[in-house]
Amino acid sequence: MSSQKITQIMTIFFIIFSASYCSATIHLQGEIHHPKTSDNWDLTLEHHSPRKNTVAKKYPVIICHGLVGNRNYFKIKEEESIVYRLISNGYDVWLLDLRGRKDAGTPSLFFGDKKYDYSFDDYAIKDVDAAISYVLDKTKAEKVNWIGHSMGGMVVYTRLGTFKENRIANLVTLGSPFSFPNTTKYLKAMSSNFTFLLRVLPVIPSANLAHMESDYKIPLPNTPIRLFYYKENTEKEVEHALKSLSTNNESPNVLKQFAAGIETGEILSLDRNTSYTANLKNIKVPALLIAGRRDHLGTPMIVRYVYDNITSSDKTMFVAGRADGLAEDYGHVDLVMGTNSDKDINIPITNWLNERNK
Amino acid sequence: MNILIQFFQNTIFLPSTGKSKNPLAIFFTKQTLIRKKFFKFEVIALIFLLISCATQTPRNIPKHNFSSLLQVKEFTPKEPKLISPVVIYEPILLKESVLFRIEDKKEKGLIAYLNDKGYTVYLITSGEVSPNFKNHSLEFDSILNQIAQKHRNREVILGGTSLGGQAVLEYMTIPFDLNNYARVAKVFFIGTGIDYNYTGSFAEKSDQFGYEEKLVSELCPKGVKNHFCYKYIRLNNSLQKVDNSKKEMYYNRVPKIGNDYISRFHYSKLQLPYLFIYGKLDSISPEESIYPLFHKLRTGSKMDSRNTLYEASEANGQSIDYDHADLFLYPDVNKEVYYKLYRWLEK
Repeated sequence: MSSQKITQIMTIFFIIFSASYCSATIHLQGEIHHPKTSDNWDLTLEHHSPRKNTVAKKYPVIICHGLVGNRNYFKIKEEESIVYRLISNGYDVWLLDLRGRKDAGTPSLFFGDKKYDYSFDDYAIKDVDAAISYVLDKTKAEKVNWIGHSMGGMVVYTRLGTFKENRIANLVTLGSPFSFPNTTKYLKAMSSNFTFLLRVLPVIPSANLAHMESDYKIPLPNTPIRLFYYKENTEKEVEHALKSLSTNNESPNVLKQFAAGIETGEILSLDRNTSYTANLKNIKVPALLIAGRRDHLGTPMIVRYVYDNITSSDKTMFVAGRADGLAEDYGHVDLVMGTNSDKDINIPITNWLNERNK
Repeated sequence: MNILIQFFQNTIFLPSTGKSKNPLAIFFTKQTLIRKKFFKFEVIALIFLLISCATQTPRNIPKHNFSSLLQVKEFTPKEPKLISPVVIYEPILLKESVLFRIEDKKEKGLIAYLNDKGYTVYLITSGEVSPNFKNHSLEFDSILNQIAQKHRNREVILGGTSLGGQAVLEYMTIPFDLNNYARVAKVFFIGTGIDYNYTGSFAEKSDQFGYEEKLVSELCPKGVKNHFCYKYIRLNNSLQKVDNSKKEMYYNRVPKIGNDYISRFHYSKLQLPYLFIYGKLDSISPEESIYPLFHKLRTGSKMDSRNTLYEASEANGQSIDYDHADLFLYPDVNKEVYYKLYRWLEK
C-alpha cells in the first residue's frame, strides 16, 4: 500500500473520530444582548425569562463565569443546570460573558483597539458595572442577585469591598478564592510557568489547549486538569462540552494578577497598589459561600478566610462533600457541572435565594 | 521421538549427565544449579526465621505511673538518639493501634516510624469514653514534667493526632506562668480539627445529631446507609479492600469537640514552632478548621518560617488526596507524609 493511500485512510479515520466528538451542543439558549462598557467593549448577556406558571421573584439573577471560561458551562447540563433550576423557580436569569469572549467579538492578537491586554481590574470595575446597569435597566428592578463561580465571585468581592457597589442584594459564590494562604506544589508550579509565559505570549491559549484535547484527542497533562475538576464526578459528554464550548483564551494581565496573588497571598490591583483582599471587611450583603471539599483552587480553607473576613450579618458557608450527605466530594468545576450538581448544589442555592427574594 | 526426549532430558530434567552442546540445555543447567544453590540458602533462611520467631517475645511496652488519670506508654527506639522525646496524645476517634501498626512489617505507623528515626515516643491515653480535656490539662502538664526529667530535662515535642489533638490544644490555653512552658520545644498536629466556629462545621453537626461522646460502633450500624462512617470516613484509599463491616474496627469513639480554641489560645504559646498536617478530603478535621490558628500564628509570631501548614494531597505531589483515615492508615503515609514531619522535627 502506498504511503498516499495510508495517509488517505488515516485522514478519513481522523475525521470520523473527530466528528464523533465534535457534536457538543447546548439546547438551552436564551436571548442575546450586548451591553457596552465605559471603555467601549462589548459584553454578552444571555437572558432566560422565568418559566410559565412560576411566581416571579424579587430580584433578577446575574451569573458570572470563572477564569478561562465563558457562560456556556452554566447550561451544559441543560435541564439539570443552575439556569434551568432558577427559571423554574421564577427567576429572571442573565448569563454574563466578561470581555474577550467570542460571542461579543474575539480580540486581536497584535493589532486593533481590542487586544488581550485587559486585566482583572477591568472585569471588576467596568464589566460588572456595565452588566448590572444593563440588567437593572431592562428589568426595572432595584437590585440583582449575583452568582459567581471562581473568578465570577472574585470580581464581585472586589466591587463590593473596594468599589462600594450597592446594587447587589444577595451574593452566592462557588469556589471563589480571594487569598492564597497555603499554595500547593502544583499551583506554585503553574504560577511560575505562567510568569514565564506571560512575558512571551500575547494571549494565554487556554481555549486552544482545551480544544486540542477535546476535538483532536491530544492529551493534556493529567495533574493540572485534576486541579480544575474531578473527572470521576463529571460525565464524559459534559467534560467534552466543557472543553469544547466553554473555555476561553485569557489575557496575560489577568493571569499576572493571579500569579501575584499566589506570590503575595492577596488579590492586588494590577499596579499592586490596592489590596482587594484587605477590603473584604466592607462586604455586608447576605452571602452564601460554597466550596468543594476536593477543590484545589477555591479551597474550603480560602472560603473560610472570606467567610471570617466579610462582615455580613447573614452569611453561610457550605462545603460540598460527602459529609453533608452529597454524592461526592466536589472539585472546582464540578460545583457547576458535576454528575449530581443539580440536586447537591443548585437546589440549596435556589432555596437560599428563595428565602431572600420573597 | 528419541531426539525429542534427549532434548528435554538435556535441557531440563538431567542437567548433570555430561556437558550438553545445546545452548538451551546449557542455560537451563545453569539455572537449575543456581536454583539448587538458592534453595539451600532458602532452607537455611527459613530455619533461621523459624528459630527467631520461636524465640521472639512480644514487644514489652513500658507503662508509667506518671498520672492517676491518664495512662502513659513508652516506645523506645532500638538505637535511641540524644534528642527530645515525642509525646503524643491518643487519636480517640481512631483506635490507638493505628499509631503502631506492628502487624504491618513494611509500613509501621507513626510511632514506629519515629522510633526508627531515633525518637523515644510516649503515648498518652485517657481510657474514658468521653475524655474531659479541660481536666486533663494539669495532668498533662505534670506528665510532661516527669518525661522531661527522665530525659535529663530535655524539652519535649508535643504531638496531637486526630481529635485527640484537642487535648494538646486545651493544654495550649493554659497561661504562661506555669513552669512547664519551657518544657515544650515544638508542637505538631496530624488530622486535628481546631476551630469549628462556622456554619455547618463537624462540631455543629456532631452536636445536632448527638454524635458526641458516642462509640463509633453505635454511629455506624451495619447495613444502614448514610451513617457516620459513610459520611465522614471514606476509607476508599487506605482500606478499600477491607470488608465494610470490618472498617469499624479502626474506629473508637467521638469525643466532645471544642468549638473554638482560637480565642482561648494563650498568647505565650504563639511563640512555639508549629506544624499542621491535614488531609485534603478530611471532613472530620478539615482544612478550614485549621487555617484560622495558622493565620493567627503567622500574624502573632515572629517565627513564621518555623510554622508550617502541610496539605496531604495530589496537588502537593502525593499519590492521593488524603482523608482522615489515610493520615494514619494509607500504605504510603510514611514516605509521603510522616517524612515531612521528620524533616520538620530535624530542623
